[in-house]
Amino acid sequence: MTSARPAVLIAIVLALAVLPLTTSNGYYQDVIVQIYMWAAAAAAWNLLGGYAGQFSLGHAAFFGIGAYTSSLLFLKAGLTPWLGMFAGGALAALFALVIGYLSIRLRGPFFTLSTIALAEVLLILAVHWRQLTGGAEGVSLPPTPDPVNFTFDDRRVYGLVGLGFLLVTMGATYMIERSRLGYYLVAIREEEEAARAVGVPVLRVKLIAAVVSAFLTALVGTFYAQYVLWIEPSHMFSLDVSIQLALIVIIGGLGTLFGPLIGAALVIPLNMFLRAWLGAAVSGLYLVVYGFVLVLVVLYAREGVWAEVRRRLRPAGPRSVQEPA
Amino acid sequence: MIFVELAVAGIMLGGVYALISIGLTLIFGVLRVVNFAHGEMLMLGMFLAYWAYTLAGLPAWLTAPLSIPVFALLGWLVYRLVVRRTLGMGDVVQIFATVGIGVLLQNGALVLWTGDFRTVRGDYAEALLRIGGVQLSLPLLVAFAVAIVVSGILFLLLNLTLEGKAVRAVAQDPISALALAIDTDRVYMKTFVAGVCCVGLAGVLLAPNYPIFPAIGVSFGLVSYVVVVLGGLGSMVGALLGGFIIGMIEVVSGYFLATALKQALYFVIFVLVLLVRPQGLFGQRGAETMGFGKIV
Amino acid sequence: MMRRVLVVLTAALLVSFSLGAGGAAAAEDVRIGTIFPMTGNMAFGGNEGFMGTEIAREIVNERGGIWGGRKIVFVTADAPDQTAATSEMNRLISRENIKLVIGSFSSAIAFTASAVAERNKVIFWENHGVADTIARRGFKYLFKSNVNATGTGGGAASFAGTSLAKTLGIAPRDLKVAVVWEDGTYGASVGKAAFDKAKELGLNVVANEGYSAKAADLSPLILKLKALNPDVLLVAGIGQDAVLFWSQAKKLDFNVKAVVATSGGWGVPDFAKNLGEGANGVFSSDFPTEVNPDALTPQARELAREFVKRFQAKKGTRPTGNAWLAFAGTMVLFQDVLPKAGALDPDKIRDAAFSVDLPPGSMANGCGVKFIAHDQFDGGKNERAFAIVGQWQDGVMRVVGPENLATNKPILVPLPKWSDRK
Repeated sequence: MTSARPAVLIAIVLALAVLPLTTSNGYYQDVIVQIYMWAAAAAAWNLLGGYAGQFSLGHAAFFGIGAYTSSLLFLKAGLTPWLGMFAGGALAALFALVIGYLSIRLRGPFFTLSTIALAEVLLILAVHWRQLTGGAEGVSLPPTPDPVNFTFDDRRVYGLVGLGFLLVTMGATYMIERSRLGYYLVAIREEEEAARAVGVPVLRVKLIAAVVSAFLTALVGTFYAQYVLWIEPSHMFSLDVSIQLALIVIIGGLGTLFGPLIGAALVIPLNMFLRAWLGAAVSGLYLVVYGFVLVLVVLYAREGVWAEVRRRLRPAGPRSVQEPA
Repeated sequence: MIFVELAVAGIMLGGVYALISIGLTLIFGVLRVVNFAHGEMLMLGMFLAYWAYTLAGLPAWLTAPLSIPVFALLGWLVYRLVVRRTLGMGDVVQIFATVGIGVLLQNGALVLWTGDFRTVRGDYAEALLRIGGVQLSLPLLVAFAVAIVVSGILFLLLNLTLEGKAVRAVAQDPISALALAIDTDRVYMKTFVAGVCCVGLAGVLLAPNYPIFPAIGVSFGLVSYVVVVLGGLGSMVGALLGGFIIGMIEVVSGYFLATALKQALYFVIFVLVLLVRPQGLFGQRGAETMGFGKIV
Repeated sequence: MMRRVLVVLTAALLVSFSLGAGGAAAAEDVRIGTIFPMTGNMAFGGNEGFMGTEIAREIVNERGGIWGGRKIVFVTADAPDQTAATSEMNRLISRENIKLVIGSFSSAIAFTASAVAERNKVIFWENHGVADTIARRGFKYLFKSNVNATGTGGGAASFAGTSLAKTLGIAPRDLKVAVVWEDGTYGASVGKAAFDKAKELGLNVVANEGYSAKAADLSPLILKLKALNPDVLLVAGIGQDAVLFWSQAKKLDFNVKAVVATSGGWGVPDFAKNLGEGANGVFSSDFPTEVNPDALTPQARELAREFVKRFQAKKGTRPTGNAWLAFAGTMVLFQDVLPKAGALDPDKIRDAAFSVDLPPGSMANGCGVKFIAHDQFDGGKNERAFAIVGQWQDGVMRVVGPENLATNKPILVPLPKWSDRK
């Protein structure tokens, strides 16, 4: 459970709000927007992965459902993405409910494998149903700035909107932490069998986490679509996106409120700056670094980089009461 | 006539999938570890064959036996440095340690060799046989034969030798095995190394038939999970049969349905198997819910 | 141990931040961006396209540069796929302050990159992408110097239905045609154009199939086509998938009487290099390459000769239509547009581009130049660009049609069976 005081939290929010405004360079603005966006999506993943302990590598499915639903509703029915995104969220939540009901019983890696398979199926379907989804060519949204329809000229506005999404997902996490659901989640995470034995409705709790996680991920999917103004199946539904979400949270700190933000702040800039520094030459390099870091974190610093840093800097200090497994 | 061709294509593809999956089912079955980097190790095998041919002119069938010590070393390193520390450590560690390795390997290949597609050419790679009016690619036939031979050898080793029985004992019940003074760590290490050698070998033998690029491991890796789950954890026969079934399904569905949908079908089957009969065709019941080996 | 790793990581981050902030170019140089797939499955075409663009730059710089002796410098970007295209364009525009980008070999890359350019009011000069959709979005910052999918795709169907049908002695309505295309922006557009034209000509279309250019195995598709037994295959492949398709066709013994591809992966030198003798006989409704010199103006003739010489020196093979597009299109930009514009100002460049009016034969590859106004259908496209019919002969792409541009006659119609070939 997060032990930060409200004043500290407010200060952090203010700092994040101001950050996009501090630079007029489009490239740096882009980095900031991407940090907020990926942190928001990662925080949504964190609900199912970090808090409920079910590790999905298929969350790109929800990301894609959100992006496609709002974009297609906009292009075909003129519905503003501000509303369309909730349709996307609902669809993703429904999907999660049905699939989750069937697959949450699966243990650990098998659950993960089933999520990978499901995201793959969605990818294949999205490519195949050209009439609906535009197939492999993807869907492009008009670049004319149109705030009513969630399109902006200024990257800084995207930064603030992105921060809004981040606050929503982190806020949801914060509230869940403090609710009964949150206590159930901790119990399940610590020792699932014991929790089941004392009457915690394990399946139902995990399912709720899955549904909320899917809903929020889909919302961020819409943000992505409106920021990049172009979506296509092989990226939206890709395993790479799913891995990136998990990677961000694990590096930042699984099952913690700030883990996703810290993770995103570490992962995203390194990618953009390595690319800028080395130019076109080395496109996979940041992922080589992060594959390596992921293995290290998982073996030696399972609470995430931030927790490890804090622990090393304050060796004699009291530890927080709850510790993620 | 087309049905004969489809059947042949399905069986050949099935052989490919079986060869790739043998290593995975071995690791799965004994260590209870899902090696999420399996596809990437296959990809490394393919690149090994490519470089062996491009730099030294070695055809794939010659590179194959030479690849075994290379992959034995790789497998040993990965086991000692990473996998060993994941046993009994809970889901996140077990899943993401190998996911991390997969990401590392795939992108390392991307950085070193770029995403350009490479092809292995040469007489062996392009050799074709005509058998009864059907044309077969020689490397594919060799891969098929090796799949059968290797799974046969492993089957015999596991069931007839003392060492093999030790492996099966550890797979069934690590704690009792330890009580019987079986060195479980050594068993795990040898099994993991054997599994990696199998998939590396598969990569080398399959290199002449496919374009070679860093991301190719992903789709083959996914298929191998499907095959292993369908066939049953730890079962050699399951890997073979599962491979053939999936190969046939892919070819037939690709022919009758849209080509694009062929993969969708076997993923759907995969999820169904997991939900309905998780132990697969030949696996141990309850295997997929058993705890992971807690002893090292 | 962990602490050391974290310290190293933090240090690396700080270093990358600070390094990221650096980098300024000489003020005298004219900085123009380029975006091509230099790696990945379209690398063949991307590298070749870049080389054509680069040779144009070299020649212009050697002959005095532009705007009073200023040299042109390329700021390069690698876009192996559309997602990379978006981030690379952002990098070029936001970090490198580029106002003019040349690209891109691939319709998909052109489609996405030009959208980013449009959003940021940067001129996008596309020399290769054929997809009809590229220039039909009402963009005001896009110029496309080459022909559309209707030209290459429709041209392939026309060639099959008229010339090939006659040579094979089959009436058009009995000519069995299979239309196959990669399902991305390029293939879908070209495939549709080919299909529509084939239908219009009354040909017997037995298949209209899309496939993924990233697939590792195309055998189910090839088996399906084998069963349908078409006379002519019309195919649109973008990159390595072309090599995969044709080599798997050989392995599976899929025989057709003729193949008419539509450039892309089938029209680049690496295709012939990888397929060897197997490439010979393949037709390609392609971009003009080494056309009959009599069809060119003296200036264009000289440039064409120079281009072939330099390309051959760099790459060891003769250039194909794709490289010609890059060279000829970029020369138009450097010789006819930028001098008039006077500065890297998008509005000035736009006005200069619209003022260009050159008859066919003026471009090194035989085309003319006249850009369609941005508020019209196909705005930004060069209406005097056209396609030709080429054929791989002895590892070189020769022009076999139309007659006034042809340098060779078609061979190997019908194609010998695989079992009869080497």
